[in-house]
Amino acid sequence: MSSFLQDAVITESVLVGASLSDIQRLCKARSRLLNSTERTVIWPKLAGLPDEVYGEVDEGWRTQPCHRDEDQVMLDVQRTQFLVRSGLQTKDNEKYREELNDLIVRLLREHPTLSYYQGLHDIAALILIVLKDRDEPEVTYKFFEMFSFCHLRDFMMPDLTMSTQMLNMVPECISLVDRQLYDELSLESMKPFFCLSPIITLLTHDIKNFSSLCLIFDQVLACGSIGIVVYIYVALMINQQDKYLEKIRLMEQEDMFSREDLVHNALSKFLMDVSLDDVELAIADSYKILEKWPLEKLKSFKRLRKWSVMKTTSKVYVGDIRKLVQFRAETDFDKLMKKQMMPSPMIVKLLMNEKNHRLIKISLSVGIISIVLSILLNKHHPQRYTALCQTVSSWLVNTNHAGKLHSFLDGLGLP
Amino acid sequence: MSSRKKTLLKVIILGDSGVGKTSLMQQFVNGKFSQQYKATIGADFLMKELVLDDKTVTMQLWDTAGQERFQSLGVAFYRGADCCVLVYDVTNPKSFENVSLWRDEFLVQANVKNPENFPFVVIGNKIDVDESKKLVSLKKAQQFCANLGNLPLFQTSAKEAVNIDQAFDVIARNALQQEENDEFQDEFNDAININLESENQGCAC
Repeated sequence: MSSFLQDAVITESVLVGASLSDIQRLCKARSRLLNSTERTVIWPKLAGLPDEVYGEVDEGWRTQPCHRDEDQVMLDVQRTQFLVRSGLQTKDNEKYREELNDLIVRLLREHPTLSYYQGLHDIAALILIVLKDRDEPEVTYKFFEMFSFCHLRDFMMPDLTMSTQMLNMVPECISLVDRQLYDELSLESMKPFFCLSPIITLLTHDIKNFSSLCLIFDQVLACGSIGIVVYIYVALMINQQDKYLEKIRLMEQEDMFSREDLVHNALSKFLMDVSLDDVELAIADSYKILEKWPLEKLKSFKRLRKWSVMKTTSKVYVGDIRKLVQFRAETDFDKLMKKQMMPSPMIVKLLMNEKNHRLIKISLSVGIISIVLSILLNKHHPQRYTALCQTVSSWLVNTNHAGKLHSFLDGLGLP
Repeated sequence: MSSRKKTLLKVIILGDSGVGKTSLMQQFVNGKFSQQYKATIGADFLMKELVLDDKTVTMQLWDTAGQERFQSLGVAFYRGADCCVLVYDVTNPKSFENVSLWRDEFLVQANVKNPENFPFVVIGNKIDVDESKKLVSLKKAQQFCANLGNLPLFQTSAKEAVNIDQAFDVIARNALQQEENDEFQDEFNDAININLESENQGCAC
């Protein structure tokens, strides 16, 4: 480790000259020592923003057509609770609300294919507050834009499909790391909607401690992936289990609610009071889990669509982060989003739906068995085969099934 | 039988984003109000024990997200509901227009046995505001509820705790009624099944 990584105080000038990989290592190893001023330099670098002077805020978006989700944005911005951070006065909340609204609405107006989802406002609020010290609002916007495109695209689709697919990674990870907990919670038999809010908001909606969230975002940026959030959440679930399992057991004695409801209820709330120490421990554990069970090995990862951020612009990054930055600078995100929005071909949809799996298997099996049987019958008992064919065709003629078949084929314009 | 067993009433609260679903629940369950409840993402429930006449019941109140994109999760949460509360904001006509959409969506996703008789209760929230800001008149709301089969209607203020207990009392009673009907229906079905079985045996002899 270079001396830069061991210095107790990291000055801004050191950071400006530091290599990206050093910064990446710094975030993973010593995240807790960073302060907000340092983050204002580190975050844009790691996000892949080119080092340049951004200058005045581009106000062109104000004259662009309104986005369909602007009312919803305003509602959520009005009730945003800004995180408490030293040096920031709550009396300025009104000002922050205005800035937060502008930040989100500008993104939507400049890229109308993106949809707003409730929870994005929590992520945007954190970014706004952290990058405030830099006093360059244009950098805040460019950072938010890059971050949304690289990491949040799946959640900004018109519907929830891609978001809910991602949730399946949580129970799968738990089953690998702590099978006993998986069984205790009966995760096999329930939908993982308890982790909807933590995953799609990258924990910003559920954890209310500013420093904890900064640590988590340091990891997202250092790994170049929101995949790390899945692992941090899994580590928190495992480390905190004593707290919520006790609650579930107590409630269960009352014999009132279904187990599924109790698990959902307990897991929806346990993040509210995790401490900074808990989060730091979970981060350390998450890297161990990631090493043993990397994303690509998870079945639920394989089932994600090929355009998912997890498979494209938000892959867990190992190696030289400069390449990642280069790649992001060259990606046309609007084009990527359009491709992602294209409906999957019918056959993929059929296969994706688990309900159809059995139907397809049965149809294929019946088809193959009848072909094999007819070949065998024809080979060994050709007379019986002919007789059988005649019986079937006469049955079709008598019951007018053939007639129906013909008129159906006529309707299709087929011979 | 039902008097010995603990009774759980599952209630789902639906309505547009920002109409005050979380506030209504918090006021009813915890007797408090905050200007800023955070947006609900997904769904979660609170519970409250109530005594109706001389019967103790536990209400399981499901708070849901108002943004349309989260509606597809309904299937997972609405099942087995005993009553559905449709909330609108008296200052927001759009939220009132959407009440019937929320009702239809609920019926589709909850898969209720008897859609015509399923109990809904309508709540117009935020009546503490100035008269000039009220854009959905009581008359219009009454007309609407009458057309949908005389749905109970309450005008509430979660902020000032106006009409909250009255509304939830009716919600609980309707839910209890529904629960007992369902139970009766189940017992009735069981009885039919038994009859059919014995009939079959009879045929076999």
